[in-house]
Amino acid sequence: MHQDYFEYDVIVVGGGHSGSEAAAAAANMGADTLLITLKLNQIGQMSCNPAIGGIGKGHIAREIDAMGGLMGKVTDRAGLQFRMLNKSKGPAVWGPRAQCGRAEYADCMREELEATDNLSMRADMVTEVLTTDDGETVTGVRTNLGQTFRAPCVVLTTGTFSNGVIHVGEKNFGGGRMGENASHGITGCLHDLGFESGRLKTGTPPRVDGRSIDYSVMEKQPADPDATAFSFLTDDLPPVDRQLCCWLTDTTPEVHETLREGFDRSPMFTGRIQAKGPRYCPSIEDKIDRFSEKDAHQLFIEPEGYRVREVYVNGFSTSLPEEVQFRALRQVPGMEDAHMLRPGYAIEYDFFPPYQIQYSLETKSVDGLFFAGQINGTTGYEEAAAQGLMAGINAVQKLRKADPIVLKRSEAYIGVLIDDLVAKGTDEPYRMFTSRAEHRILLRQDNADLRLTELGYKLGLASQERYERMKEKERAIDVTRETLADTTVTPEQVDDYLRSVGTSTLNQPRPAIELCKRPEVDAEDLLRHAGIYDETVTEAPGMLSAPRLIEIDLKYEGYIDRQQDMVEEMEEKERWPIPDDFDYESLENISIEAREKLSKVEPDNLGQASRVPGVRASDISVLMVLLKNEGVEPLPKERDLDLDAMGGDGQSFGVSRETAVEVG
Amino acid sequence: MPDDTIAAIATARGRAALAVVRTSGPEAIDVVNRCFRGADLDEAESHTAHVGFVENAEGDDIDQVVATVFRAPNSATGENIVEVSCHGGDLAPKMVLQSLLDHGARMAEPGEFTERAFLNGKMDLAQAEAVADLIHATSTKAHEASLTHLKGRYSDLLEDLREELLNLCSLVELEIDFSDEDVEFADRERLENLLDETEEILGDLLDTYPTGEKLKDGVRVVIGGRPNAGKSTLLNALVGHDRAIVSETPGTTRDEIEAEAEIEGVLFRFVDTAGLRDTADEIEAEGVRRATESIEEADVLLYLYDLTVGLDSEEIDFLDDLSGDDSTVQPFLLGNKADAAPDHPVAELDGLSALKLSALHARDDADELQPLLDRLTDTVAEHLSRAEASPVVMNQRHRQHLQDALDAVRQAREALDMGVSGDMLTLDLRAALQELGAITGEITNEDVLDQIFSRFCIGK
Repeated sequence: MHQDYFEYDVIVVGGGHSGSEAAAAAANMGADTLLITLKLNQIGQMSCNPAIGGIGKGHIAREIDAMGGLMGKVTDRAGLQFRMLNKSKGPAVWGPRAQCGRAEYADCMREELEATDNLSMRADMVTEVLTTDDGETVTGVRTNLGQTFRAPCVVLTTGTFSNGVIHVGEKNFGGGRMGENASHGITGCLHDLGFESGRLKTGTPPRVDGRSIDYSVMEKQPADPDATAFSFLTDDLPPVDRQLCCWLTDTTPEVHETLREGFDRSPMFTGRIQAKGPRYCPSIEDKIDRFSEKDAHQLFIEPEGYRVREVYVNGFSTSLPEEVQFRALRQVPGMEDAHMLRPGYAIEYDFFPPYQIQYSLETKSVDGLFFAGQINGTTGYEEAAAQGLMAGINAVQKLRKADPIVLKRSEAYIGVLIDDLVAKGTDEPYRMFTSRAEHRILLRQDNADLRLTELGYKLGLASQERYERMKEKERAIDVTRETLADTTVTPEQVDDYLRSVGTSTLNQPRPAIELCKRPEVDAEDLLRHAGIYDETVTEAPGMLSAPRLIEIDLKYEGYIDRQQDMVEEMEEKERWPIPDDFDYESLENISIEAREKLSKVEPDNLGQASRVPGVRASDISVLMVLLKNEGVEPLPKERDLDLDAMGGDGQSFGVSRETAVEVG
Repeated sequence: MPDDTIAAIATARGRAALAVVRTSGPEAIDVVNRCFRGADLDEAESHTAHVGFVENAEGDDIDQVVATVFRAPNSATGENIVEVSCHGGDLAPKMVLQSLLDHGARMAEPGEFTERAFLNGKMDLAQAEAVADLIHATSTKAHEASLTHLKGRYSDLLEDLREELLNLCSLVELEIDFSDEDVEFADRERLENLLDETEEILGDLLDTYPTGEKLKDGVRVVIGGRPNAGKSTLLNALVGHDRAIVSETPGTTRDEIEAEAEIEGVLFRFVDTAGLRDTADEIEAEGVRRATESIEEADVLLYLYDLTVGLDSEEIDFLDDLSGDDSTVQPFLLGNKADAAPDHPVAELDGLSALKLSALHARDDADELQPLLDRLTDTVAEHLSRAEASPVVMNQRHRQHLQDALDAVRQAREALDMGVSGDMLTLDLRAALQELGAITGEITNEDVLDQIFSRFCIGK
């Protein structure tokens, strides 16, 4: 147990999705960690819709889990309804999504954190980041209650709370979420340290009492029997018939008309809100205004929990005056008697444009200070959690005097996320899309463990159990694949099946693996039909059978190979390190714009440099020649993870303490 | 922006009434003002001309000039520019340039004005490359084609193509990333049509490369035949001066001799080869070997034979092979020495255009050569009309990227036919976009998302 009440290895400020993961990762990796958040019962609170995952976001959630993070486990425990989105598309873009109980999620997250060794919590407001006199190294934080807590690493995850202002119609007031105070002081303190801040905006829809809704006129969206769990440690989900439903309805021209009546009192249109909101999550007034030709917009009713009747009206995000919201809502089919529990609102908050952080999420100007989550300009629970996880890991890596862990774009969506933030920056809340990942064919949600668990394990984050399950899965895939290559099936065994799915029959025995490659064939069904399932399949742990896991690789082999080639081509550049103190201004042969942008971003390597907007391919060629002339050598292909070299300060880092709260 | 100011003589060397010395950079106006007497250029508005004298470092007048001021960003390079029109000849422009250098400008590197224009977004890469082509254009038609590129017609075409592909890509991405939204999706037929159109445009553009290549590099015309058929005499007649040594001794030309001439605005590169015969002379044998190679690489072969000697059976076989369908060379048969054999008709061979002439007379009598020149220009008539109708690809680098883009589009089209899902399809579409981007400027993931958000209502 922790000895000194005021001294820690890592202090995490904020207990949202980012802060929770940061604190858990640091503590599980062996660092004495303190999590300071305004209210302990709001830990892991879902401020917006009560769901985790989706397309792109589901990938991130699976990756967090694969590394040994909390989000997957908590989602599986708090889930009300599980689905797999995009099943009609290629397997690379399937996205798991779960509706979660809002209160259950927060409870489970707190439970996970409380079960974590080395982790202490405190309910308080951090008002100041403390540094050495020169302002170059962080030393701790000071709180509203006047206490000082010291640590060599501080992770800031302030979410929407930094100078948050809530808008409902012409009313506005300070707040971090409806009913909760904003936090003040940190922005000013960071300004004093030389950081630049900006403002972003996001919004949320009204909440409604589900008992006042007529679901009979809405389209039902039940749970999905094909869904899989979020955590690679989970073997079963609740039975489909015990899961809750969502509902779909649409706005009408009358609803739009009513909403328009409030436009002159909308903070969006009167210019009261200046900050930029996300284009992919517009308010209902924005949708009506920009796409006036559409006379209906879809609304999606999400349950808030097993034990509460409150529902979330997704698609109706608004900051119009409450009375306008209410009148419009009651014109929506099925909502004629709706009882609004609380109105929608918009919230403006401070963020720090992410060119100010390194790829490790440590700030460039203050040693030991890390930023994660919405403070870096992102939106979404998964995006925030991913950054928290990486900030937690890299805080400990720093204490270990080891290299920071920077995931590659070809390795994880998390790598894409952080690379995009640091290299490109963002001027609207950043959300993940699969189209942002140019190597997405390789980055599937079902193989996140194969991509990342070993790394998480070596870092001392993922548990032994998690690592062994991944290894077992890997073995099951290899053995089954070999067996299927060695097993021939006869026309008598499979022709009936082949005919039934509309593909050509056999005229002689063929290896089973060849049939599994056919687009029409379902490997599991084929093997069962041929009566050879049990003898050929070595089952993998987790929710997908070995044939399912294999057939994806088989069917898309050509594309996967091509993508792999593209990755190798790209990574050639990633291996060229750029020295920290590199002077771009002295490069006369590259464009002025590129010089300025590169000086600002300070990329670690040529690959990152090539993605900085305004940098051209020719600029990169010039840089490469220069690096070669200066005697820079390309780095080895493999990441250097020599754990024996870590922990030089005598601390017992390196053994995972990922705890096992029972899942499922 | 570069912080230094560059200067160079912008007009060609040699005798001329006027010359232009150009300076560009943040200090351009100051630099000229320091050595210009007649008006205060600091006060001058953009796009105004001022008469005055340029002084040297000692304060003596060099020349009376007109200084034209262009202020950033409304200038060719996007920087401040002053163009000093002085008197032509060898001396005045040099002295004016020297004075500008003495007053703070730096001598420009070759292509540096263009580079600055490019860096300041005044032209795209294709246009900048066109400037280089324009400067190096060796014939009137190549010049015209470069000008078309410079005016942006070519860039516009590529831009349209890129826009189409970006559209396609964003339609497919929309389906993937926003399938749980109630957005309407592109039907497959529309995608198929868009891909077909793109494939066609790319194919057409690529088909112009042989034209572009001919305009830029010239039409390669090889003059071949037995020793002493008069090949070198013909070459000299075609280019109008004694390029090749002519003698009575067969086998005088042992190595290839090249000479250029512009005919009807098109550049022709004539190659005189060693006479084809079996020879014991080692050097001459090597010449014969090279001649055979040259003929294989030529666009046009002028096969010369001596009318007084006639064609032998070996020659006839050789020409037969060349006039076959799979031959890339267009052969012409020329019966030479008509002066010595006015009554001998030229041999008639299947599918071979034949002409009788006297290379010897042709040197002094333009009419003698005219029928041959007409036939030569006919060989590129198709290319010329194409170049007038549409932009042509003149650059080897562009051709490669366009070809790769076309391959990717074809692959996408096949994938669509096979019902491959969108995430795989975009692999090909993005590859195509990347290839086009290498010519016109890169496409990023952001471009695709911007396209989606501007066109579709996302976010339920």
